[in-house]
Amino acid sequence: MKKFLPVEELARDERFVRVPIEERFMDKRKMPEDIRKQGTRFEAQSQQGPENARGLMHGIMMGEVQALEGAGRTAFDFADDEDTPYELRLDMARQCWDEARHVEISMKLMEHMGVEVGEFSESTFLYEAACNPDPVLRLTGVNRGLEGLAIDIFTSMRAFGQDGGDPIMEYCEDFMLADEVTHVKMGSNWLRRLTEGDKERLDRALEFQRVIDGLFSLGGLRGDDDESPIKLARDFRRLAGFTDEEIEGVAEQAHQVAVNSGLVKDGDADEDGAGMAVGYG
Amino acid sequence: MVEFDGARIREIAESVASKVGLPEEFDLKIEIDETVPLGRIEPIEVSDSGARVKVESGAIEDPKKPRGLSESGTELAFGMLMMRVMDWVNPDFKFDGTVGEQLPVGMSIAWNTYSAGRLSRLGFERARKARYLYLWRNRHGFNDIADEAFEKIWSGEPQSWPEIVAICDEIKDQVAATTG
Repeated sequence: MKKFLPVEELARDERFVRVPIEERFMDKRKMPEDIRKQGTRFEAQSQQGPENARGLMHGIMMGEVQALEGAGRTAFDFADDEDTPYELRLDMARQCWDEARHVEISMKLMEHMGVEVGEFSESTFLYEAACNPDPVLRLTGVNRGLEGLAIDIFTSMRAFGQDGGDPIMEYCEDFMLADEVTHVKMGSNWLRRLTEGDKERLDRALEFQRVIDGLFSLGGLRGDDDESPIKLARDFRRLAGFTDEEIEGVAEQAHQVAVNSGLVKDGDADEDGAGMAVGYG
Repeated sequence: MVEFDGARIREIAESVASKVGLPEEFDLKIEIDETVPLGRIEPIEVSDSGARVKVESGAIEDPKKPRGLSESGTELAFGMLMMRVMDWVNPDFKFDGTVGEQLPVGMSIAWNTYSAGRLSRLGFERARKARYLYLWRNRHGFNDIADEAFEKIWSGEPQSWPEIVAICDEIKDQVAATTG
């Protein structure tokens, strides 16, 4: 079997359409002022909250598929690498088991929300982050960066379920959230163990995570600002091995992305950054 | 800002008008706001002889092709807005709202349910019941009483706005009676 499978070779049927992340950043349309304050929030009683949640759930399902593919690849790609401990690959095998379950849960939730597979496009950024040739960078980028984002999203979706009185959403998100905390913790543990005494590798891994955190703050939708519909889940991040300083770093970075995308205002920041549209039809 | 073909949008609008039975003499103006990625549809003027409606670009955008036109999505969006306009000007429907007045979200989704149910029966592929049931449950409750009310409205049982309002009001009363 081929090792280091490029993203173009992931198996998909005709229902799935991929949209490069650059496409989304090219969108010059802007959120109206009134929506900046209310419309993008995931509140069950808001005009667009449930519709936005439908699109997000499709994105979550695709993320779970790619997380399964990424963890499986990491378990396999480094099978002959003597510097990659067997226990790391065992952790990845366990993560595959979790991600497969998450795909099934997400599919059921989509059915519950009236979302069809392939109704929305697929972004492949999660798998692309899982293609790094250094397993430490993979785990840092995916398990700490993107699975950290998953913690924030699942916490927000769980709150959305509570807000709308939807027990199916609330409990499903809670089950998945528990697994995600474990996945992030795996990333934190392996980052510490494999970079012990190797500051340069540690710095490269953390820089890779910063790039991923910045790129995937979802145009400012994920952050600590009042306007951010997906909040930074600080408590769960601490449980997953993030230090307070690291959490502040993610929050500050997300704030800058939100300012640049026009979601929040900040007189000192660069106003020319690219925005990300959230459409629903 | 978007890659929409105005002529194609017009063709779709004409086709939808024919399917839903919008009278030919009714002067409907649809203005697409290309600057906003959201999907809101708002009537700006409504009278017995015509209407002007603003549609944000996200309402007719292809969710799988950023800034591209979705033919089936445009059909659905136009079908929904035409159903609503036809209800609005139908004296038997007895809608007493005014342009610019924001309906409570629960009532807005009730009207959408009423419209989508009829579009579904007319063969609009994107008017899928499961989607509207989910949107309905978020506003009216995840319980059997709310689901029964949804079925009534989806199936077109009510004939007027006051009947739709009454069905929604009954949900609260029945849930209160059940839970004490």
